[in-house]
Amino acid sequence: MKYLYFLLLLIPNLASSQIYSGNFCFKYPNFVQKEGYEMNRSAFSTSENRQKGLYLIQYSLDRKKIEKKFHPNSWESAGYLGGMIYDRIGNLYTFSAPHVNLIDNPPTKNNNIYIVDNQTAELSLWKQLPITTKDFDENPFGVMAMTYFCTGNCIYASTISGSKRYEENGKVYCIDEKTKELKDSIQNFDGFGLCVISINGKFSLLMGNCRNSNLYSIDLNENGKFIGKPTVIYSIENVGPRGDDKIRKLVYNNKDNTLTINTLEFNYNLAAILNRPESVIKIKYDLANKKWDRVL
Amino acid sequence: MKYVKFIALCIPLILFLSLSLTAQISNKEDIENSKIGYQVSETKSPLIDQRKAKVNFYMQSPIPVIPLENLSNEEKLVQDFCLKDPNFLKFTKDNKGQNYLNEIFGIYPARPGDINPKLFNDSTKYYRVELFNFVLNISTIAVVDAKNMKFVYLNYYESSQPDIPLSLKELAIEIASKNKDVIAELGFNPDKKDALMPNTKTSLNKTRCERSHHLCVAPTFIKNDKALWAIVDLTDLKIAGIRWTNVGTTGPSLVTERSIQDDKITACYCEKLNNLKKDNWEVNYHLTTSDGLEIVDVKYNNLPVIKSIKLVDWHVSYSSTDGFGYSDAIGCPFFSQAAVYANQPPTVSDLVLNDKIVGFVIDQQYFNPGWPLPCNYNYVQRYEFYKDGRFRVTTASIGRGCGNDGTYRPVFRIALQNAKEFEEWDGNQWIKWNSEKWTLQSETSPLTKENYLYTIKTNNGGYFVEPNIGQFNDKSRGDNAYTYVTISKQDEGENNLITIGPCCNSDYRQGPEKFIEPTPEPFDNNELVMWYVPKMRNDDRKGNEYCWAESVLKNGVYTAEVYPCFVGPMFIPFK
Repeated sequence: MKYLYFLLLLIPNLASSQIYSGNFCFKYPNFVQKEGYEMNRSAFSTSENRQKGLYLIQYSLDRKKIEKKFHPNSWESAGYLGGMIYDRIGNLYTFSAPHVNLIDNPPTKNNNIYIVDNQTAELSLWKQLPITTKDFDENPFGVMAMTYFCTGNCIYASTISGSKRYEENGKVYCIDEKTKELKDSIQNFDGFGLCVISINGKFSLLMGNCRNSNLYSIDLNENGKFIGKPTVIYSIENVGPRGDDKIRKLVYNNKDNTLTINTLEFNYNLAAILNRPESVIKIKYDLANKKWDRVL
Repeated sequence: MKYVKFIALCIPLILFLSLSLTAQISNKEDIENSKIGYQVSETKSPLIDQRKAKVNFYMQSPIPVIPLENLSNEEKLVQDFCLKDPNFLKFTKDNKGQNYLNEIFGIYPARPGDINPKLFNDSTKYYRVELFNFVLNISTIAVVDAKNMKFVYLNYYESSQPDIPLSLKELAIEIASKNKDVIAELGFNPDKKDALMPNTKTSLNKTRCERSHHLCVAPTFIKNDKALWAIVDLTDLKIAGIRWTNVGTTGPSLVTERSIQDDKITACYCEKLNNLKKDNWEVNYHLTTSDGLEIVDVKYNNLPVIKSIKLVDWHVSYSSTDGFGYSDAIGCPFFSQAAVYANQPPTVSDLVLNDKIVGFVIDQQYFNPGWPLPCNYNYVQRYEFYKDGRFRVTTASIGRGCGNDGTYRPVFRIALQNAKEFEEWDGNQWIKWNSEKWTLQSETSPLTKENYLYTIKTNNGGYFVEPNIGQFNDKSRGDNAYTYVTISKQDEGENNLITIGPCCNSDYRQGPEKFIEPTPEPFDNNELVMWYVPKMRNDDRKGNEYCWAESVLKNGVYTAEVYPCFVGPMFIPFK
């Protein structure tokens, strides 16, 4: 019944909206409720202060304090973790993300993608993307972001493993969500934040880049494979207090039809900065003029 | 004929590639020849002296705001009204009532967008007033109804700087155009108009001072197809950096304090081995991606004495929180594993003892951008080379850390040339070590009468090792160091090491024990490596500060007072 309700809400929204996000079918894990947590006042987090791994945190009804935390042993087994996505069943995916040093995140594991099972809540290795280097001196990083594409049955992951100061060797992969096969890839591109959107029925993958402040787009076919090459569609250069932030996270909001861009100062190092140097900006697509404009 | 056509087709490609290569080489040279702030001489000018006097005057005033000058009567009244209002002055002092440096940047007739249409009254005149706080980087923007003398709008904007007033623009141009280093770079004395952006004729180039968080602008001088950026820090009244770029699309669109620092450090010290010959020493040094400033292939009187010395990790633990701390690598500012990175190049200076120059020092500093705020770190590496052949390997924390219960443990890797034997003083004689092991220097560890604890024997004699017990006139409280000796192996630290040990062990498990356990190897005439891990406790007690830093408000801006804690042994040669 609840799925029918969801569809009844979604279909008119999609039909009336000419732009929508590609992960529209995602679901939160079933174990949330099983463990006695309420999703409407809980959140998953991999960035708790001084805490390693993944946490499920429930806030009090007035949202003023933390009521309880869920953190089974397996959620710490992979070291520090990055952002999260969910698939259509409710599995959660995350990736290895070094924090300050490499003790818990050796470079050989930084191309790992982990899955948290929708039913059991166990964290395990889902896919290790190819590691093409043994030299991590100049760059200890691997996976930087992921996104889910319902129609194409793809999980996209950007990785900068193997990239060096003067060689952009990063890749963006399209990974089949069922078979884990690497269906397609963009080569020599140090991708950062990712998001699939549909504009007038045509899907494209939006991407940040770890080396510059540009937002790129590449068309997708119905199987999630890439068409053509990435092109610059917007830039956040000179925006914000630092002026050269990179695009770390992209979220398309179906409700107000804006793209939220979380930016971050990133220089391919493990700089430990207490107050993370990041900003949030919003842009909106002008269908008539086919361009993105900042929402102030 | 087809070959002629082929060659004709290739020529444009060849031209494009060679131009592109030339631009890359030129860009690299520009980076290497750029100057970071401390390398630029101070500009001398009466305008700067007048500015300093004005700042001093207003910082002693009850209202620490430099007012705008050359105003109409009405504008003066508006300014006076604002400077009496506590809400307008909200951010002009800190919470202890100490003065910040503030200035009225502009008073203009308000623009239509500045006023809420519902409040607009066309029988009166509105003025927009812009106040800037140099320390907090907060702009206070107000719109004043000049007839009724009341605010119709008042708000505060963080990390925001209004357009600078004409007086500051002229000051920035003066600081840049009269600077000896700028003149030397240009090869001529520039006019004031030469500093302005050619397309506007009125504006200075935008820039940022991301490290100092000061107000900066960039007078830029064009010469042929190049532009010389002079980043002027209007808080310190100095030049924060100088750099040439190519005019047009082959150069960076924005040159900032951080980009000059990071690009120069990377090009000159991360990507290059530097050679220094001085006082009978020859030292090669470079910045690594995770092991700090490394000295390699060091000779004294033309004899090789040091193979490699570097600082592998900083371990910082906090006793009041179990397991909380950091294990940080130090090194290059980007494309590295550094958590605390170099923000300026290494410096070479005289080593002075009792007013005599006895050698030279190579210093390298590393920091987090938020230092000296809490949970930000600042480290110094220092190598001392004495004319008589001694050398000292030292480092210091300059605070501030996450609390006053911090313990710091830097991990040195010291590989002398042909080091074959290691001995420890037991109070009566030298005891030779025969296999890999570790030891702890405590307060009761016996030292020779010269304060030596170890010897390292090489093919040409060797070195006594004198641990620091506070005898080196640097206010140190001693090393209390773990010392490890291992056989030299390529995969045990010859290349860059990722973090070698956890933050918070209080025993011998600081990282180098990995190369000893589980089965220590006999030395068997192999080359040896010494690992040295001193320990320092920070201290924030007034008058006893150690490994500490404080931000102090002086003349309206924050400056750092530092209390370094130097540690590290002296090496004394013997034949």
